[in-house]
Amino acid sequence: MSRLISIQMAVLRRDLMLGWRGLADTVAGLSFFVMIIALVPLAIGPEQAQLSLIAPAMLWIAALLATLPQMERLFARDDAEGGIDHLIMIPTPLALTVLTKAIAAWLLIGLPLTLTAPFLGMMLALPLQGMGIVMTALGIGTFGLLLLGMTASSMVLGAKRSGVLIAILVLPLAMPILIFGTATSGAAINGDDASATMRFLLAIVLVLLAITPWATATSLRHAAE
Amino acid sequence: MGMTDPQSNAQYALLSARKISISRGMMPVLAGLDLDVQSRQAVVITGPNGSGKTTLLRGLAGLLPLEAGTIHIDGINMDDDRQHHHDMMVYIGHKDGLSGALTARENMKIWAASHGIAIKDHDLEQSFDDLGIASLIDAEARRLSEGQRRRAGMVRLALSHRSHNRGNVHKKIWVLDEPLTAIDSDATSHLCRLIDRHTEHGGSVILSTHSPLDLARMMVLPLTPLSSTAGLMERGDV
Repeated sequence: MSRLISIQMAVLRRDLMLGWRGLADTVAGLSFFVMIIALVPLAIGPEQAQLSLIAPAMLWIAALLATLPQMERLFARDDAEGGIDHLIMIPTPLALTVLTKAIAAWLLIGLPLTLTAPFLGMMLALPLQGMGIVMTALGIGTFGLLLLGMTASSMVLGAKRSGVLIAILVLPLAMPILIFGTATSGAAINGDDASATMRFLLAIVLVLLAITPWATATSLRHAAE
Repeated sequence: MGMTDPQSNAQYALLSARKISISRGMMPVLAGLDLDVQSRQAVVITGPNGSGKTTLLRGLAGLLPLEAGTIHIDGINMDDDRQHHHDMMVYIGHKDGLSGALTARENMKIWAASHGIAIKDHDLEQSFDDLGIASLIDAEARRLSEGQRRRAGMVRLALSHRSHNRGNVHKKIWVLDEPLTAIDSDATSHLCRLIDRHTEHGGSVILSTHSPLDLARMMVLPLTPLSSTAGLMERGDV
């Protein structure tokens, strides 16, 4: 058991090191998120009531759009460098390695988005009330999005225009996350009870957690053929 | 399989493939091939392009599904215990699997850790020296030339050889797909020495090549397109 954990820690450490060396990519994803939100007041006008009405939806749409371009890289670099074979040859279940890589991706992509949300909320005239719940929901939701992204990214390995394919694969499946994420955030900001929708969001991500690592592992094995 | 004492000179089948068939797409590439690789043996696979060398090696490494047949590693069916299979094997394919953004040292440290192999810095430095690239240990992998990258990738072999007597798993089977591509004669002789040392200590090596190679304890498996009855030959026979 401890061997399994130390092996998975090595997988995590590698991805975090690579993320740190390629910090420009991470920052680019984050600034994309910030840009989308910064455009909203410019397009809609500075009226606070209007802004805070659409703010929860905008945060989620921006989070979705900002994670989408990052998904392509999740396995593409490993594939180009011959790393998929090495992932498969790691002496622990491949689905577990995939899950570890999803956690690394969340730490590099999902967590920064979640942490910047309160500042972007201010741009959209959101009160700080309920922001804790919004951030929790964003944290859970972005993890779900990245699980989907892992599967999509492994399925399009070797395809041309894989970025577009990933968007086509992920966006329809991401709708439940978007719906319940927005509902949770909206309720939390209005001071309503957000627990029901939050549980739905959590349930969706748990279902993804139960399915996507195995699906991703299978499609990685196919890619290696 | 009681004969796993590495000190004993007796040979035993570390890897045995029985009637394996593998297709690429709709094309059958291997049909009913038998292969036994003994401990203390280096098997060199030769054959023209398209004869199935890479397919066979990837099949043995568990990266391609078998259509038929079985592969036993040290007496254990590969499909029953993948972890044992991965623990026993180092596979180095056409791509070296190094992350360009990390240094050669970091790449190898992470490789070892992700195989549960505990190494000392001293082992790591010695391993780079085994491939004759001690000076490249802290170079970023993307700055290395093609041949240097391949040598850096093969440091895995030296590492697994050096670390197993520290209580680590012994990766007894090395599967190398055209390891001589892009490397110079100096690197080739380093690699040959490493392989000889490995087979001497009870390991096996299976490699494919188009270049002549002089190894101790070497057998040759000539593949022809769609071989089924290929047999091992003493090197004098080729």
